[in-house]
Amino acid sequence: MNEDAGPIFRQVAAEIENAIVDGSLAEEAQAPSSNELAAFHRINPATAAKGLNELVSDGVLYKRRGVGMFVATGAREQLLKRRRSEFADQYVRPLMTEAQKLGIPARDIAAMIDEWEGQ
Amino acid sequence: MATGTTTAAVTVHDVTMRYREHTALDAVTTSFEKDAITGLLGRNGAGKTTLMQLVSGHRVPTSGSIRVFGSSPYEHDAVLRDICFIKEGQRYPDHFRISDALTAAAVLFPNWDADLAASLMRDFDLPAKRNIKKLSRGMTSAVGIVIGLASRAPLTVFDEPYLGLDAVARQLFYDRLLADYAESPRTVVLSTHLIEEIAPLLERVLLIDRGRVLLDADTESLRDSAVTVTGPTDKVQAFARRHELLHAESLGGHMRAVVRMGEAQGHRAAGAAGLSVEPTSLQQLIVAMSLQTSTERASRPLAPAASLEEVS
Amino acid sequence: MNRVLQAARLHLVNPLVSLGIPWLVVAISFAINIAVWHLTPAGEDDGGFSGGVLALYITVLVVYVQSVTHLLPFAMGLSVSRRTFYLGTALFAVGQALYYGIAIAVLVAIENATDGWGAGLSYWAPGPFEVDTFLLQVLASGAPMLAFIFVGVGMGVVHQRYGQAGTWGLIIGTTVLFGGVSILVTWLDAWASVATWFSEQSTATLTIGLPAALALVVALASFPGIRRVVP
Repeated sequence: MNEDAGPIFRQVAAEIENAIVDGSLAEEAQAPSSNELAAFHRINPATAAKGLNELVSDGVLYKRRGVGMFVATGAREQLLKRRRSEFADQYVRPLMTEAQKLGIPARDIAAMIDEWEGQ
Repeated sequence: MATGTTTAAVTVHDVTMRYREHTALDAVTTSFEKDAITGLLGRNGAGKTTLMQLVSGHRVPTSGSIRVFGSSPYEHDAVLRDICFIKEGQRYPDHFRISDALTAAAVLFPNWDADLAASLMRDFDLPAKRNIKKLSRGMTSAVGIVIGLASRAPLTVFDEPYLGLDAVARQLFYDRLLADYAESPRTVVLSTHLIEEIAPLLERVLLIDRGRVLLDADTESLRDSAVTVTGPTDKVQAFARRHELLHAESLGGHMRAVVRMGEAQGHRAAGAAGLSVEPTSLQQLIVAMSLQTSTERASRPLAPAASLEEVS
Repeated sequence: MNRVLQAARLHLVNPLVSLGIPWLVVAISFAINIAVWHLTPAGEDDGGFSGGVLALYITVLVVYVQSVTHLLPFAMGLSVSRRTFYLGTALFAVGQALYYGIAIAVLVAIENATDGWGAGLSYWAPGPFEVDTFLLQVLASGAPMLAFIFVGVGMGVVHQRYGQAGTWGLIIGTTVLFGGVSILVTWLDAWASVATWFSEQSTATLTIGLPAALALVVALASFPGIRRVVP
């Protein structure tokens, strides 16, 4: 985990979310345990558990007593929806900030995107 | 673990420790949470070792009280047997081999795990029959680590356990500590200067500076408690004036400032001010806070630049 | 109590040095004495005793100084309280004094049965330290050992507590004390009464009672010292 990237539990949660979004962690599959995450990322198990618990409270994971945590059905769709809503803020805003600095008008950017699509 | 009932394994109440010429700890009140890994941070001479000696019953405070699992540790065998203090520069009898030290530790620690000791000996490549006095600094540290982990003491205290260890051996220590801690959770206190390396292992941080507590919090909320803002000097200064500034450096017309605020809030506020915002790592935060107090003491306007990156 | 036994057990971890060195030293001294007694007419005068066995007592004393200065910081590092370390050491000391008493008594028995190793040598229990029965010999040889051991422990404690300066202070203090007492006795012209007092005491008092009392006094005096030792 990256020491310069804010709270580690959020990074853990984000990584599991990524795995769910890209399909490497399927719905109803078992998520890694906090001890497995702790060992793999060399982080405190309590921190890993906090990341998992956040996903549980978001409804992305659910607990099966004595077995572990599993990916909820519909989790992928839920995450995709959230990420789409955050897309503008996370990706378009920095793009536009940089573009303004460089004096690239929005229509030129739109053209670049069209060009990209065409490749 | 973040929620629910957490009890303290160690409580330190209003403890002052005075030596002949100086005060090592000044009215310190804190606690070490049960079954958590706490990092004890601070500059050289801050009072870390004194605090660990007090908690381990090696010293008696000038005033105040220390409670470990509910009782004073000083000369109290029932409490002491549950404490393992691996101190820097532990002395061993002259003719002792590593195996002798382990034999003694096995006699004295009720939860001693001989299998774990044997596997750690292999991991660190320690020669059991070698005289301890003849070991290198790093190997001697490794002996301490083996004893500290295999003791499985409910309270295990490590005073800079990595001295002389190379990067590989340190990584091994962190891995084995985490693995064994996950298997049998216990209260671990680690003093260190290698903040960057150890930070991910810590659940809590206690920062002391010249005998006083500067910071006593859980690491995750600390990681979310300050942001580093960069941009044109005038803009950054204007921004910093409106918030709690910990540390600032400038280069030309450009300034970098560590400001106390959460990441989300930081992104909103500084983003609106047209500044770029990054999370502040634990190490940067600790350094900024330590420098802040020392500059306050010296009443200098700003800490010397360059020292921000220079630690450990 | 269990913890005290564990602390005593510490003295038996790698005991080769602490148990072996005193015997090695005394064996060399003994061999030299045997040689001298065989090659010279030393044993022909009556008495024919040697003080060589003192080497054993002194070496054991040094071993105990070290067991405090080396083992105490280690034991504290393994979470043994000072008090428990002290009690464990005292327990081990009594056991060792008994063991040395028995070993020396056996050697005395051999010495007497072999006419002083065939040379009229009285090595293991010189002069007044030789007593009539085996059991008494165990005590007459063991009690002085206990005194030497505790003096060693006491010196170790002073060194741990007050450092090098403390050790020199102890030596100077002891010298001054004994010197002062002798000056006092001389001044009072009382040497004759001192001699009379000693001659009036039984062998048992001199070889068992006095050393045991000394051991106890030193043991009690060094206990408070160890309580504030910082490893």
